[in-house]
Order: sequence, then C-alpha cells, then structure tokens
Amino acid sequence: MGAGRDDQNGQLLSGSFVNYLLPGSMEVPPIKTVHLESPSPLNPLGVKGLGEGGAIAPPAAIANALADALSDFKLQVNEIPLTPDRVLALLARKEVKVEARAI
Amino acid sequence: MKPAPFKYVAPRSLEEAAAVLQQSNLDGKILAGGQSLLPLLNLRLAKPKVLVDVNGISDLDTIRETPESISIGAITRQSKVEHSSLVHERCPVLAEAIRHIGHIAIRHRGTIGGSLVHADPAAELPALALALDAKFELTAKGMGRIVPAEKFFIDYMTTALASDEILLQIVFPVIRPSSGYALEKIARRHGDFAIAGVVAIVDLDHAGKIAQARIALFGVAPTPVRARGAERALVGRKPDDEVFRDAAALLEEVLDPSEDIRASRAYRKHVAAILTARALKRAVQLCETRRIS
Repeated sequence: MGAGRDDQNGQLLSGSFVNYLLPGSMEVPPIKTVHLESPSPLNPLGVKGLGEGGAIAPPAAIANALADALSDFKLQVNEIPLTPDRVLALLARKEVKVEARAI
Repeated sequence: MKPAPFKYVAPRSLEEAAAVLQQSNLDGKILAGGQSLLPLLNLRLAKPKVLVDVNGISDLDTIRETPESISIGAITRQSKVEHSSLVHERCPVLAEAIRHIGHIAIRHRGTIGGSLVHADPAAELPALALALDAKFELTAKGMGRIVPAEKFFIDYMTTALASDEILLQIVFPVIRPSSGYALEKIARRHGDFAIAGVVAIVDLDHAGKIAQARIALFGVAPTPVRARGAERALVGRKPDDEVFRDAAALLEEVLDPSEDIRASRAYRKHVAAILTARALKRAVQLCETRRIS
C-alpha cells in the first residue's frame, strides 16, 4: 500500500507512516504458508542466511492476481503499488464502463 | 515526537473553563478526547499556550431528548452515543455514522464535540450534522449563541467556533421511524479517514415516491457539503438505479476535492458519485423495510 514518493523537487512525501500506508490486520488477506526445504550443501547444518527472499515475489504476484481477476479485459499490470487510481486508469484505458456496474 | 510546552488547566465548571479561555488571550485550546488534538500537538502542527481540559465538566456529558431532537453534550464519548438506545430508536443514522469513525478504542475516547469542532473535511460526523441540519450551542464568558450546521463549517478544519467559545451541545433533529438512511465511505484501510464518503437520508411517500432526500458528502471538498441539487432532483421520483445515477451525476457543482498521496482529485469525484448512488439505493431499501415493520 505504501510507496516511497517524492515530488518534482525531490521533497520526500512519504516520510512517516501517516503517508506511507502499512496494511493492518483488516487489510492483510489470509496467507497460506508453503514450506520448501532446500538445505545448503555448503555447511554441516544446511542453513542459509535470510535476506529479502520473501519480499521479492509478492508485488509481482499481486499484479498478476489483478490481471487474472480482470482477465476479461486483458489488462497488462506493470506498475505497483496498485493504488485505486491506477486500477481505475488501467480500466479506463480499455474503455471499461465502471459506472455501469457500480451500484 | 513531543509537544511544545503548554500550561494545563482542568476547570471543574463551564464558567471556570470560559474564564480560563478568556484569560489565555486566544491562545488556549480545549482538550476533550484528544484523539485529534494530541497528534497535532505531538507533530507541533498546533502549539497552544494553554490546554483547557474539559473532561471533568459533567454538564457536557449528556444525551437528552426533546420531541423533535436529541441533544448531545460536547464531551459525550462517541461509543456512548453509538450504543445509546435512545439514539438507536430516534436517530439511528447517528449511530450508523459513528460506527465508521476510526476504531473502537478511538470511539471510546473520542467525543462527539471533538470530532465536530476539529472539522476534518473527511470525517463522518460533520457531514451527518450537515445532513440533519443539526444546531451547535456555543458559549463564551457571559454570552451564548446557536449556530446551524450550514454556517458552522467554514473552511478546511475551520469552524464558526471563536477561540474563546466552548461547544456546549449539538442538537440533532431526529428522523422519522419510516426514514431510510445509509452511509457509504471508501478508505484505503479500515478505520482511516475517508477518501470520499456520503450519508443519505430518504423518506418515501405513500405511493413509494421519494418525498424528501438529504445528501451530505465528506472528503470531497474543504468542508462537508450538501448536495442540494441532487436532493431536489430526487423529490417526486419513483426510486430506481437510473434515478440514483441521475442524482449522483448532479454532484459536480459541489465537489471540490483535494489531491493527495491517498487519491487523485479525479478518483475522489469518480467514487463520490458511485458512493452516492449506492447510499441512496441502500437508504431506499431500508425505507421500504422500515415502512413494512
């Protein structure tokens, strides 16, 4: 939800959690954990250092989930975060009449 | 972050509070629930010299009814009003609006008067006060006055309340047992201020046509706004989706939303129209159920 943003002058716009939205307990969907073991051959315990592995895939997965949910419209979702504005703009590009289905 | 230094006073009576405010040379601020004021102090967006804590003045913690209205004392906690049986019976739209304010913990501490005086344009209560034509009873040392909601919200976080005045109570006109109402709001997260929101109150006549509609929007202009053009266009119409959409199309004249990190101006206008049509539809549905029961 949050994104590092700055204006045209390079002034940071998301300097605190007031402007950098973090999802709370009501926004995070249920997450299914799938444990995949691949022990390292390089040490006796097979352990590995932890890094950003978990942070790389979700944005692409979320973008693809949106493309799948709106597959009728053949959207290419190439930008994150997926703000409501961006989703609406993507639909507008395909000339989807959002009002018609809204009520 | 910590607030700039201030003097703290906790008067036990209204007279004392008014006198303290008067003496603070327009540099005093009233502390009620503190749900908006304390963050402002901590961010140093507000630096009052004197903080006048009115939480000890029990005269301001009241819920009273008259034949046409419910009067609520300024420091009455939002949660108390939300769960008041009197409010549920005679002005249920008020309880409905409060349910959308922040989180439970915020509503336990936050006050009715605090939210209204803070006058965040994206807040629920100011829009509801405007929709119901509520009245604000104000007092200062030696004098009092009553300001209608329409004249109370002047600009972005600015009200008619002078810096030596105290909000005593708000008089909310009750709605008919047959009135339908709905509040629709869109926010990025649960409990956030609205990107855009609307409260609608509708009455149907015996033929099922719209007799009266009240629509107030929040988050779409520097103050909450009434959509009077849309209200007028609905009267006498047999309600259906087309009628709701036609009314929502008349909002343009009152929408003047800001653009910020949460949403663009265009997005706010777009959802304001959809939310209005949706609120009208739900209000009419409730009207139909309430008429039967």
